[in-house]
This record gives sequence, structure tokens and C-alpha cells, in this order.
Amino acid sequence: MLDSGSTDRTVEIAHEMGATVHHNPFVSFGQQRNWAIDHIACRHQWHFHLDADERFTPALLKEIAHEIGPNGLRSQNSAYLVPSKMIFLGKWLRYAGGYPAYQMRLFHRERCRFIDFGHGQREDTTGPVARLRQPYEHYNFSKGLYDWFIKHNRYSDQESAQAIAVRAEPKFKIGEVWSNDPIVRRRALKEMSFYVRGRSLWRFVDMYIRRGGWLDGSAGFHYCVMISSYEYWTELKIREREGNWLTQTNLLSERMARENI
Amino acid sequence: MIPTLNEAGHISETVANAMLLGNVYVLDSLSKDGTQGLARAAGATVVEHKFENYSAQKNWGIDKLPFTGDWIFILDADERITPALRDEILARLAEPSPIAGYFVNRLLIIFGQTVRHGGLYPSWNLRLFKRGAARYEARTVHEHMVCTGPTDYLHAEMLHIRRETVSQYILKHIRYADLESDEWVKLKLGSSQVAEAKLLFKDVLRYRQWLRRDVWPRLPLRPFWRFVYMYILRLGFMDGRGGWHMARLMASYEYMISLMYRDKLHNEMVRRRAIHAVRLAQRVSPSPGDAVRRGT
Repeated sequence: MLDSGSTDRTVEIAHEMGATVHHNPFVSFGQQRNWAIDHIACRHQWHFHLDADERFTPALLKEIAHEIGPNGLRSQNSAYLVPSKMIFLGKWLRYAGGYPAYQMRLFHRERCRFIDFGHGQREDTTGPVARLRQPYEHYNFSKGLYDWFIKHNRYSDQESAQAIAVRAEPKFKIGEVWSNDPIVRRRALKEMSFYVRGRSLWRFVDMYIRRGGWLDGSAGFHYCVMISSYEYWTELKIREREGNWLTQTNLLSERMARENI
Repeated sequence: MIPTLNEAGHISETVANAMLLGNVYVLDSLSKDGTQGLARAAGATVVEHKFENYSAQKNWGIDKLPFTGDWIFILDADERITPALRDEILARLAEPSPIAGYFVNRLLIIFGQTVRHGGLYPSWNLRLFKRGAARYEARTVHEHMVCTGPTDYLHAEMLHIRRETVSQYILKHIRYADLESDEWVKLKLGSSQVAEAKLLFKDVLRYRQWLRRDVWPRLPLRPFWRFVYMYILRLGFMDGRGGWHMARLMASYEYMISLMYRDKLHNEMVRRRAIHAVRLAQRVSPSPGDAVRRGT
């Protein structure tokens, strides 16, 4: 276990349960993962990075063992992309959760490094990357929905600020929406979304109907509504910034407190 | 009288505004942001008193502040008196009348506009009363005033200014939803207190409590009904975009409560099952680790 300075009982519990605990202050995801590769003396060449809210399944362990072989020499790949199952209200969100949502989690320590990118990381490998078939489970909401909503309230602050910046200085080209590079395409689509009204409705339609969220039952419905609420918050905050609502409130109340309207 | 706690952003303006009515007394609950100094500089008499709860604090102020006039107006730091209200108050108090307390209507200003519908208006509060004629009921929350004499309603309004950003507004909703859903979980897992129907209709307060605690949480599509109630039944649409957003945010709030409730209940059940499984396993074969841990 690599801890970046928990102040709750995380370290104590991990010790008690038999884990070896290492410490490194958090700088970034990429840096932390690289530190783990460089400083933790592992007996094996193949590493798996599992987040605290994720779980292995027996089937995944079996597949990994089969892939890398008994002494880890069987595979010539640098790393493996592993599918992840998002679990919400005890149910797997197969469609709404965007399965398989591959993550590079299994890698050979000498053939892979991590590079910071955005608020996450990317991987840099020396050889081929393959895919595993068996997923791990991701309990995205294990800290409770309170946490999720607080986080998304913050994300929508950032999104709305970005929307205002993009609108003030539009630099994207419509052609990029059809680019072959998925990163360019995603960015262009995102920037374009800042010009569209009703983003919460579009997002809901996209997730619930186009991606088949309705097939996930009530958990799927709720997850789509949550995401759609988040988009609504973003939209509302864009309006707030554009219309200077706080200034308007102050002007209006000062005027009404002074004269009769 | 203006009760305050950390109101540096508002207090200078509020004091200046309250002077429309006469002497201003700020009853401060030991603010740490310099509210006291700002209030004094603006011309108010400042008295500090440790806060216990809203009703106790305001009653203390009503009893102990060195008022010189016969009438008291209680104004919160985020509220303002309008010139029309001042004129009406001065006119009403000048004429002889048995009225001991006046209700004042409060107009909400938020997100850059006034809100006159959606069930948020009118909002009547007994704020102006003859000294000695009214006190706050001794309750810790939802305090309200009781007046010993006859009361009347004023036409002119006061303003309630909410300067929070959308983000702060949502944050507050998330926090309340968290607390509220905790309550629901407790109600569900504890002894379900469905009151007897016979008793309910005798007591209006208990009837309301029953509606709020037993009926409302069980109603399907609550966010939707909340929206319909605010936006359509209470004419929220007449407030334009503000009415739409207020209704929608309130529906979001209802939605967060239900979802958090469902999630917490689910987690609690999973936890109980896990504990149960561990207990069963221990009964079958107590592991040596357990014995050591118990020994230490």
C-alpha cells in the first residue's frame, strides 16, 4: 500500500490486515505511480495498481496468472488494459458507466512509465499493449453520494469558468470534430458543447438512450439523472457568470433600498 | 435590533439602512470578522452576547438592550428596509391604535432578480412590535414570535438579499440533503413512528409533522411534484428564468435527498450483512488473531 499522508485510520488498518505500507507525499497521480515503481521493492516484475475503491474478482486473477505465466516470463507485452465495472447501488452500470472503460493497470515494471496529463495520467510503454477480458470492480461511490455531489459541484465551477474562457476566445475549428485523433476530437466536441443550450437534456439523452443507460435498470436511470444534474449546474453557472448575477443582486437591492419601485 | 454573527459583508449597509427607522442596536454573537467595529463605525450601538440559540439570543436582546423608543424592529443583516416601508411604519405608529405587533412581508432577491412566486412569497414575519408586547417562542429551530396584543399586516415590503453564488447555494443543498437523508435512514431503521390516525386530526402540528415525516418521504416522484408545485401551482413561471431555476434547484435538492437515502440504506444493509457474516464465521472457528487482539 502506498499512502500519501492519510489522517484517518487507513495506515493502521492496512498494517493490521497484513499490508506493507509505504509513504510518499502526493504530488500527482503520474508521479505517485512512478514512485511506486521506483521505490517499492517488489519481488515480482509484473505490477497491478488497484485503487482503494476497486476490487479484484477471482476470474480476473485467474486470467492475469494465465497471461503472465508462473514466473512472469510468458508475456512479451509491456502492459495490459483492464476493463472496469462501475458499481452503483449494488448494480453494475454496464451501459451508463461506459463499459469497458479500459484502464492500464497491469504492467511490467521495466516496460512502462506514467506521465501526468490533465487531472489524471497517461502511460508511456516500450512495447505492445494488450487487453484483458476480465474486469475489476470499481465502487465509484464508496465514499457516499455526498462526496460525489460535492465533487461535481466543484467540477461544474471549473467547467463553467472554462466555458466562459472558451467563448471569450473561440479558437476551435469545426473540422476538428471529425478528426482522426480521439483527443483532438473530444476536445473539439467539448468546446462546441459550451455553445449549446440544454446540455443537461442532451447529456441525459446521450447516456440514457444512445448509450443504453435504460438497460441498467433503476441504478442506470439514477446515474444518468445525476450526470444530467451536474450538467445543469454547469449550465446554470455559465449563465450566472455571463449575467453577473451577484452584481445584479447588489445593484437591484441597493436601488430598491433607496427608492420605491 | 440587528442580530449578527460574522456579517462584515453586509453590516455597514444594513446599519445605514436601519437608521431610516431610528436608533440601531447590533446584538453580536461574538463575531470574528470585525462586524462589531464596522457596525460601530456605521453608527450603531453594539452589544455582544454569546449565542445559544436563535430565540434565546433575540429574547435576551429584547430584554437587555438599552432601547430608548417604544417600538422595536428586528432586522437581519441580509435584510433591508425600503423607503415605502419606513413611510408606512412612521404613519401607522403616529396614529393612535391598539395594535401591538405588525407583520412585515419579505421580498427575496437572489440570482440578480426578485422572486415573487413559487411559494417563496409572500413571507410574513412579525418584526415590528411594542416593547414588552412580544417575545420569541422558546424553540431551538424555526423560532417565531408570539405577541400578546392585537396584530396587523403592513403593505410595504422589506428586502431579503441572498448574495450567495449558485455554487454556494448548491453546496448548502448538498449539506442539507445529507442531513435530511440521515434522518430518513434513522426513521426507516429505527422504530417507525407512524402516528395513530385518531390523534393526528386533533392536532394540527402533529398532522403536519406526520405529512412531512411519514407521507412526503414515501411519495413517488417527489422531485417532480416539488417542481410542479413551485413552478406551476405556485406560479413560479411568473418570475421568468429565476422561477424556473429556483424550482429546478429545489427539485434537484429533493432528488439528492432520495438518492442519498437509497444509497445510505443500501450501504447500511451491506454493512449489516458483512458484520453478520463475520460473526457467523467467528462462531464457527475463532481465529488465533482474534484471540491475541482480544487479549491485548
